[in-house]
Amino acid sequence: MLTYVVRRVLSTVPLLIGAMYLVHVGVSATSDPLASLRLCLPRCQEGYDRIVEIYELDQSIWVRPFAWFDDALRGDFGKSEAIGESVASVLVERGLNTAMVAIPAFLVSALLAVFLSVYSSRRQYSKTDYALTGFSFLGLALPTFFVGLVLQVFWGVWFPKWTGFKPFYTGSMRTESPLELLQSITLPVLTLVIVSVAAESRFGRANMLEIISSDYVRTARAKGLSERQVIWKHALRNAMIPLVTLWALDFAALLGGSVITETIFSWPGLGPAFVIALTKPDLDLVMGITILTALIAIIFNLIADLLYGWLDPRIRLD
Amino acid sequence: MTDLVEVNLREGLGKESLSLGRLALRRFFRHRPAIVSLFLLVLMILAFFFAGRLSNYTFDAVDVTKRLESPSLLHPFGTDEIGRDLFVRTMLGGQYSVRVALQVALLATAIGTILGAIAGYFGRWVDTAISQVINLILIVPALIVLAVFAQRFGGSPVGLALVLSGLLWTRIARVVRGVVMQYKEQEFVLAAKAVGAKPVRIVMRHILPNVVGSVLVEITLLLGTAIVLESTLSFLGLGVQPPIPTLGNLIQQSKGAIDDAPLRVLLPGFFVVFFVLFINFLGDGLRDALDPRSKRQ
Amino acid sequence: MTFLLEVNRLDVRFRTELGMVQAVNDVSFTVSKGETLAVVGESGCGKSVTALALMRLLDRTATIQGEAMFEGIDLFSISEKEMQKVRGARIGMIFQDPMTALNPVFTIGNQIAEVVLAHRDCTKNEAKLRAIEMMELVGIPDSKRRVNQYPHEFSGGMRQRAMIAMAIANTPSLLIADEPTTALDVTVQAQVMEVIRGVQESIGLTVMLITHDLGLVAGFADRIQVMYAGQLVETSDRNRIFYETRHPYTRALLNSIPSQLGVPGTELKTIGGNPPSLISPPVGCSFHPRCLHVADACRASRPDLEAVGTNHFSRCHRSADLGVLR
Repeated sequence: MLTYVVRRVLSTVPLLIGAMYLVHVGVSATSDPLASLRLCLPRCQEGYDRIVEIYELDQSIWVRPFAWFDDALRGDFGKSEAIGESVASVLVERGLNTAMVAIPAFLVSALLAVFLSVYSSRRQYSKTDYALTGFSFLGLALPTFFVGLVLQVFWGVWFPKWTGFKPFYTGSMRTESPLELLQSITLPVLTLVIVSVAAESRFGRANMLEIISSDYVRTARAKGLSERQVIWKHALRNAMIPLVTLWALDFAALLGGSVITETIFSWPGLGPAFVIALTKPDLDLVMGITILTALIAIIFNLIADLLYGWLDPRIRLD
Repeated sequence: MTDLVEVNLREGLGKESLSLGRLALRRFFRHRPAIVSLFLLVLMILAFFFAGRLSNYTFDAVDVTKRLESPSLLHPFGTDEIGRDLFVRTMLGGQYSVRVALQVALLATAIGTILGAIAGYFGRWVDTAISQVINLILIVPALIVLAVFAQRFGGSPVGLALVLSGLLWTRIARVVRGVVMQYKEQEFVLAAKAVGAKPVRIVMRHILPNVVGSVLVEITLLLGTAIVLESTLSFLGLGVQPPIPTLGNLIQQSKGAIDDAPLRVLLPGFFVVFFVLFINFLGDGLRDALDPRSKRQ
Repeated sequence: MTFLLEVNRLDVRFRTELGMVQAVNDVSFTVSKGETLAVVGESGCGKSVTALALMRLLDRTATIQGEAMFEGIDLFSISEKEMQKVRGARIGMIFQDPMTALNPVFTIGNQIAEVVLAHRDCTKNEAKLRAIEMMELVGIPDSKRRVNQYPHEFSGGMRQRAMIAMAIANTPSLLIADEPTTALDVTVQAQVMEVIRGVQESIGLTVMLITHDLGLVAGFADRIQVMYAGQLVETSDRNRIFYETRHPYTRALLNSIPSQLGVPGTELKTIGGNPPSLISPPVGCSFHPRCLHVADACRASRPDLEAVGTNHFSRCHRSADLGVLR
């Protein structure tokens, strides 16, 4: 297994480097930090030269990335012009904020997906099953930003209007007390959960239904096992295998910072930071966030494959 | 069990065997949600393209004396915060959103099918090369590519369609590659090779027909994804820029008025949701029609 | 005499898209302790459905009527929980394809021990020891090592042996074997049947063998019942079925077995026509469209199962005048 991991890592590194290179060039190509300064020349020559020096604008666009690689390997990810702190500290701070939303969202949606899948397979064709399937179907059709907006409108405008309460914060992160934290986390988490659960439970449900009518489930029943054992031990264990890989990928995506959700709820995570970095543009920050999210994606992809190999004894990774 | 019984049924009832295509079509028409969705979808698209003409207002006719009016006979969807008729704007926005989605679907399918088939059929280094390109595309955050291109193409619908196609073809390529790899080992392909058929002919005539089913289903998913992506990006300001309206940027533009007239702000979003819903039902119907073993009551 | 299993007027119907399918039609039979009863017929004749109905393993689209007295209780009138106590403990069942019938993610040992743990109060270790013991009984070599292996690491024949081990781990009184050899190589088929016979002798098992392979049946069955289109058409002991055949369908089946003693170059015999529709069966005898001896009476009404000799029953209007068929 170790050889597999090493091989995978080795084959991905060139890809990662290639991607980062392209990103650097791409962002450099579309930004022009000197735009405003050109107008005030020759007065602000000093400022002009300084900018040229900082961003190495005298070098070819194709050469500049190497300086970044050079610094990055030494642990220096530069300073974020937009936010004013070192990129590293921005990544840590914003990353933690994103994790605060991503982790609960992941756990809740994963658990819900399991329960919904099991329920659907046990009570197929019942009214509740149709309703649940219908909801998850609907959930698949909802763009994330729409869910977020609807929740914001409902809990931010209507509910307070009708009841006078505003149980959840709709546009900020409050950390003064655990309760406040919970109140401000709820809506972003709910948004992400709605979107994730729809896809995950649909997948899990389809899987479970197929497995329920498989031969080995019939054998399990023929052995006199209770329905609970048949479903939770035999069926679910097999259904989980592909589902777990889906989870790994979803989790990576969540950790990468859901740009839309965080933007809508003004949650100071990696998502909005990325948008800011792109619009300025703040090259060092863009590179920093990109490499972080890319690494997360790669690691979790690898975890997904390893899990698959671990859970399914028929697959031997080598 | 029920499979054996079905074999009996069909033979016993004396039905002539139907070709796969016709069988699929029959099954499809029995799938009620899919048929209804298809109907409503066509209706919606027709509305986007033609219903706007019913109104006398244009999409950019500003009239500040009529801000945020509720729906009325003259303004079926009411007006926005600077008095423009929302009905015409929404219909036009729907037009552009659908157009982008269709363009993306077509282009991405074309690229994805060709590259996927090549990768799947020729294998080895061709496959590795194409697969690595796919991986590269998947690693680079889509947002960056989009932001970069948004600047370059100035936020035009066609530009966005091109960029989205460039990102979305990977999924279809993967599916096609998988199916092609599965079928190329089959004996009828070996037979064709033995007779001296050239690769292009083998792929086009023998393998692709089997791919059609999966591709059709993927196209419906693509359409849904494309329209969601377009509206999301336009909402974030990275997609199609005003004054060209799309369902996404219409919401973004009127976001300020969300406290006063939330439903009207969200209205374009509902159209997106319904579009995707109908498309998904359609895809479901297609999937069921093409899978000979699905049990439906 | 009390039978181990006595099935009375079993009737199984399925609701399908195309209508109501009559899979098993008024089937009654008995199984005596210690004997091997073979249920024989083509695909779709209802033999597997009968077995699954007895075990109550059919899904909700099936409607079961009739009575199945097993060791004094009616299997159809007990609750699901009570039925679970019967399955795997008092009646064991093995299926056709051992590769798909075994859960790929659990070890063989785990799956055998599981059936022990489900019905007995013992520790995991004791169950595992029992699993090893069963594996040895069915002839799986190196059982102590193999008990920790997964199904995909076993060959087809060994998997089927493992299935048998699983089915008999709690010394049931009845083993239902649903096409146990159909998915196996010919050479392995005989081995697996030997295992079943060996087990039968060592723990005194009654076996209900479901198959379409008459050759298999010749070597192992005590009594044979032939099914066609959901009905029993002939039943007797083995010798009488083979040498004193009374039903035209049985005769046709026997004739269609390719013989090593036949003259090379002669055409293989088949049964003309197709199996009947189970949704709209033909009027009269269900076999009459394909029967070589068909008469007007056959087209008019459905024959009853009648005695044509000692312990020999046939469902044919013309059994009296046709006599023994050759």
